[in-house]
Amino acid sequence: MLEALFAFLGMLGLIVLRVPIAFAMGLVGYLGYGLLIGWSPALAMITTVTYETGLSYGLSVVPLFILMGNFVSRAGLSDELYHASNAFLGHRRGGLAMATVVACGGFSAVCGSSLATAATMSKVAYPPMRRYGYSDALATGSIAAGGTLGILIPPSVILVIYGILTESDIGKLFIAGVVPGLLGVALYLAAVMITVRINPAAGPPGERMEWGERWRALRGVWGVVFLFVLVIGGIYGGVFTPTEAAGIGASGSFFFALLRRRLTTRVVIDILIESVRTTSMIFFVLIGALMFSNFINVTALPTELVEWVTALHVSPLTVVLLVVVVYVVLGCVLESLSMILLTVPVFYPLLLGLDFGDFIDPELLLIWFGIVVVVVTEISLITPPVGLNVFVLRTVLPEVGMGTVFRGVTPFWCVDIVRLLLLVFLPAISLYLPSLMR
Amino acid sequence: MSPGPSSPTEEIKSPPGGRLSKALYWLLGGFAALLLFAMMALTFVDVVGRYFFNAPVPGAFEITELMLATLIFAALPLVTIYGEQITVDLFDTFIPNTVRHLRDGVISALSAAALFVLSVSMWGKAAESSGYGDTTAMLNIPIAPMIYFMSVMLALTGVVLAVMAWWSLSGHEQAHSDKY
Repeated sequence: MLEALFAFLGMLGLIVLRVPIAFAMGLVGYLGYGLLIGWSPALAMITTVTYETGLSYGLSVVPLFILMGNFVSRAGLSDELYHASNAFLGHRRGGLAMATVVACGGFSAVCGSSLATAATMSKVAYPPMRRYGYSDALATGSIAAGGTLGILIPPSVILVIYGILTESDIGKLFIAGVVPGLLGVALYLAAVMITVRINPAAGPPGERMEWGERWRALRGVWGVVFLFVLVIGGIYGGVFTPTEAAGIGASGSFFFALLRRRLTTRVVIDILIESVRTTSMIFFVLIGALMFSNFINVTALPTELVEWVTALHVSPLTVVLLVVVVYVVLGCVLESLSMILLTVPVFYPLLLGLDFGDFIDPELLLIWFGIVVVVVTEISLITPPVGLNVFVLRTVLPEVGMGTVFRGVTPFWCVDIVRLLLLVFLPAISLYLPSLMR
Repeated sequence: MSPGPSSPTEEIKSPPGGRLSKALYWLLGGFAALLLFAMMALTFVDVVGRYFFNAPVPGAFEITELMLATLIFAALPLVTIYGEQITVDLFDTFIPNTVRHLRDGVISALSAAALFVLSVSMWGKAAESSGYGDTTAMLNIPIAPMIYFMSVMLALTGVVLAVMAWWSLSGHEQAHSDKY
């Protein structure tokens, strides 16, 4: 157990020195494996991991969902989503911020990345909020927070990675994210209402629209609804495997963008290259993490951790809460994907070793834990000092200060904690839908 | 903290850097882009074929796997050139420029060395696979060429990193910008 702790410290040290995370994890994994088992098996291990991760059919969902998200961004569906939610909510106090949250939720349903959701929505949602005199804090806070929904509401690249690491059913993980995602939207709406109750000047009401206009605006979102029903409905109904669904979703969003005349050959090539680069980056972080976790497995840290926790005689839920606290702390300094890759291989065997009794269906335990982990990761995306979504907003809207965005995000952060606790204590929120799947 | 995946933006970007890195961008990026598009089209045809015509594409599974592996390795030099590897730079503002270049140079050099080791080991694996005559189960596609390709891409990325290390350590002007 001691060697594993040293390895973690060494790796964190390398990361702080700005060694690329993939390399830091791979190097520590190789050195540790070499010291414990031998250098020639260690070299064989890293070679095999590199080779096999590339050849994994299950992972082909990753580039396809990234591609789908990038096509959807370019197709301009975000404008219609915002327009429609604005038609229904805009006239309320704080209504434009509420519309932003709802539109982010809708966009998340066709995009698997939080960063892409935040980047796309900031371009659509920020200008109107500014026009109506919204405070920068509320405007940017609602976009940064709304964007985090991207990795919870399926499709979700992070859930795919979690599924691969824990060998869980990716379809079930996706379906389990639906209700917690909707809960997130509802709580974010509440956060907006509370903010404008405290400070009415932060979000003045917009214009009220007639019902006719509202229905017309609603018709504009059929594309998003169609893609979501096709992809997620297909997975839920057992018609598609996740890979097939991803391929269909990517093709569908490609045809959409094509029909809407948003694509030239050059744009398609740019989108493809961008998706390929993102994919490659994710894969090499994943490869590094797998080398690291292979080493962690030979240190027996997971089994010793289970024994240690069992000896403490605390309730399993206390353990889960402690794990959550660890995540919230780590989330302050680590980037979200690396955080999941580093910690899940250590924590999931621990979870499997606990006796939850009747609290949860053992078959769905890892699905529930996946949703909890992803929600914590969402929180880390808007937690200072490394909240990635805040950085994305800063690059898209350079005129708004970092402090302003973090201040704006605070109410959303608070309701996120509430949601996290609800999800921990009431697993049915996540597990009801997947328990119906066969 | 560099936000890893570049965010999708409306404007068309031209690749930064010198002529060589532009050539690499279009060559490798174009190749990987083609593979991704083919992968999408293949899945589409396979699914439509299976559900509507009861005729899936034979071996689609295998082709997807090979395309996936090839495209992520083809894109690795690009990701490295454009500095898109995920890093955490919490303390960067506190470090003087000269120290930062020294540090970046050392890190790039070490990463290059590691990639060369991995590349050589991968070459051995490729030779082994070629010796056994390994092929995929359904379509009998030989696997060795793809492993050789992985090895070559790892080495190429190593070269990119070695150049970056040299630039950082010798104070080359391009090392002072974020993009190479």
